[in-house]
Amino acid sequence: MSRFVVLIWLIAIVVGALGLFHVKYQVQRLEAQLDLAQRSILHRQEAIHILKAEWSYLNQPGRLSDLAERHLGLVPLDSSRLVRLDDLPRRAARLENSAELDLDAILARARSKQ
Amino acid sequence: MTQSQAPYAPPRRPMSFDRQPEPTSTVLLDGTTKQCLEVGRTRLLAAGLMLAVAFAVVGLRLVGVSLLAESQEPRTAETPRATAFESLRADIVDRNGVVLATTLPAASLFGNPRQIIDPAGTARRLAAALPHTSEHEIAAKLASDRSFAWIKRKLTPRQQHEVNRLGIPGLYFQHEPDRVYPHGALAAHVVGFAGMDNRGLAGIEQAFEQRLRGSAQPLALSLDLRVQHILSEELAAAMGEFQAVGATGLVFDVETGEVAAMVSLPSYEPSNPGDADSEALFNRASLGVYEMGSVFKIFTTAMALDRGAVGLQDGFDVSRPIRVARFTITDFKPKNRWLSVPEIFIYSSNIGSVRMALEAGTPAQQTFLDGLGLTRMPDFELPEVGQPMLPTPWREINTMTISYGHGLAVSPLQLVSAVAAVVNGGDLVPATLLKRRDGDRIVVRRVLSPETSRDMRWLMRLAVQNGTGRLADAPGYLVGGKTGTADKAIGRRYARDARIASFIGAFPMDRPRYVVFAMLDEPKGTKTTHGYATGGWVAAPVVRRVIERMGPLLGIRPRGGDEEAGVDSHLVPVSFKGTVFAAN
Repeated sequence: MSRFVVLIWLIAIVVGALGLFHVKYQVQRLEAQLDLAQRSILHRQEAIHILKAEWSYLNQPGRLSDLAERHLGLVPLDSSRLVRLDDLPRRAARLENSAELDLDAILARARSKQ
Repeated sequence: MTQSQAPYAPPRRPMSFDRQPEPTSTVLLDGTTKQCLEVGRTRLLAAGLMLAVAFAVVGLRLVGVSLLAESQEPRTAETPRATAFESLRADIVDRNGVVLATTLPAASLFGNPRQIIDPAGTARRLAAALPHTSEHEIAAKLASDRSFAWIKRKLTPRQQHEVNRLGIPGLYFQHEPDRVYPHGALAAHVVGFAGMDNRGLAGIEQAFEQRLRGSAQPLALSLDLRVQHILSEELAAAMGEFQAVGATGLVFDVETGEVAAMVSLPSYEPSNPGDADSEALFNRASLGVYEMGSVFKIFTTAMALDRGAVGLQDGFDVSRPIRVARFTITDFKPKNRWLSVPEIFIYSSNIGSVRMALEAGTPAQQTFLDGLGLTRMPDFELPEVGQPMLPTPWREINTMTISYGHGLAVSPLQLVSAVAAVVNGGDLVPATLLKRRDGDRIVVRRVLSPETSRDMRWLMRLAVQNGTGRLADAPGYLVGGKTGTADKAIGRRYARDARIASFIGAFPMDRPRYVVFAMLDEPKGTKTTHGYATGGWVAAPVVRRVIERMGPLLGIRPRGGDEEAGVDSHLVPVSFKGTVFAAN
């Protein structure tokens, strides 16, 4: 009986040792992966930081206004180019029958409002 | 084995020493043997117990760690943080988050002279690859017997690449943090710059050294870079058009005291301050103090009205110049008649202002200007702040000259915050370069009554509608303000041909949001200005253009051209061009 028990314990020891080392190497592998991931994160964070500086540089107002003028044909906005909704001609009243559809009158009304 | 199974032995007479112990199946312990065995057994037991305890602890801990413990993040691996540049010194950003100053890694080149094979040739190739380097100096360094010599610090990536390409052994790179300013000269006087060791040497970089090093959060300034650009562009255009030697401008938020723009021209590149001359490094907006001239009439009139020395219906006869000591005080464009107080203001009459100041008295003027912060150095975040120049003693003659802006020199920053106090209802709001958070308590001090402020707003609007500030009127924005043309003081005398032309305006005048100030140093008249280089001709248009461009950006709606709805109207009998009528 004791020899059987001893054998069982021996097997248990071997299995335990094997399991232990398996887990240990798995943990090591995972830690290495974590290290790699964190290094990669650091690297990307630095890249983002540098890109933020570059973004600010590319957003120099002088450069943007130059580009806007050259490629988009835009000029600085001033008050003469702003209108309010109230300044627009009012929508023509709903027409009940075509007899009231006098385009000239409507246009004349709209023009006088401007 | 029992005696009976022992081999046959011849019987002999039994003796005492023959006595054998009782035969048993176990060994009987006694004496030292027993003691030794007992000790041995105890030791075995103890060792076994310790081992059992150890294994029990390991087993329990295993169970505890794997099943019962909180699952927390595994502690971060100890990676060497090769570059953590953003945490070394915080970014400086404008109120909208645009990066004005940041820290980037830069390669610094050093060599080991002992490993350099050909110092002269290496120096020649390096000097060719790197600008602003002296071949002679590099050769001297490389020929020495040291083991370390800086060649050039903080190279650009392109320069680093070029040097790398040379492939010379004995040269190494070390990464250093480098302070970089993406917007260059645009906000140079505000942001300042840092030296080779990344310590701030000017501007915000210097003033907030501890804050920038202590926290990685970006430092938000009150500057709006778009307004800064607009102001800078318009000032530069005017500076070029009128061949001024310098220009400065400010945009100031009247309610919160935030400086939205601060420009001083000529400016400099903060990444290379060594190349800049002293004119460019000088911050005219906060450090320079100038006798501002006629813009001071805002304060004279406000003081006289607030103290009750004059009323809007009062006036003075300005037909005769004032003679005091050996000076004669005249008006620039004399109107030889009686002028009402509004007219004195809008036509910028020196004689009238002197009369008003004398009505109020010297102590009243001193107290009033003191209250507006014009007599002491302001409390401001920049290290470059100028001390105002006051007359000592402050006699009546000084009161007279100060009433039209000569004899007291202040910085544009002081002027702008004082005028803001005049137009915002009478509260002096301290100027700041940091963005104010919602819920920040601002400590204000009342310097004049709301009624006086209302009257002054009306007068300033009149000055732009009908007076010398006509060219500052941006349609729809209800601009009000005052022109200023001051002779430059050179030592104790005044220059004959050198002037400082300025305009200070606020808009929209029924409830002002911003004060805009523009000043040109020594402008020369052109054909378009009929040879005049006064504030109304050269500085007022700058303010108009700045207001027109910044209004839409900041969400200030222009009103319809004709309606001045909302401007506080007075029905006040005002003498205008000699006839009395009720004006609003």
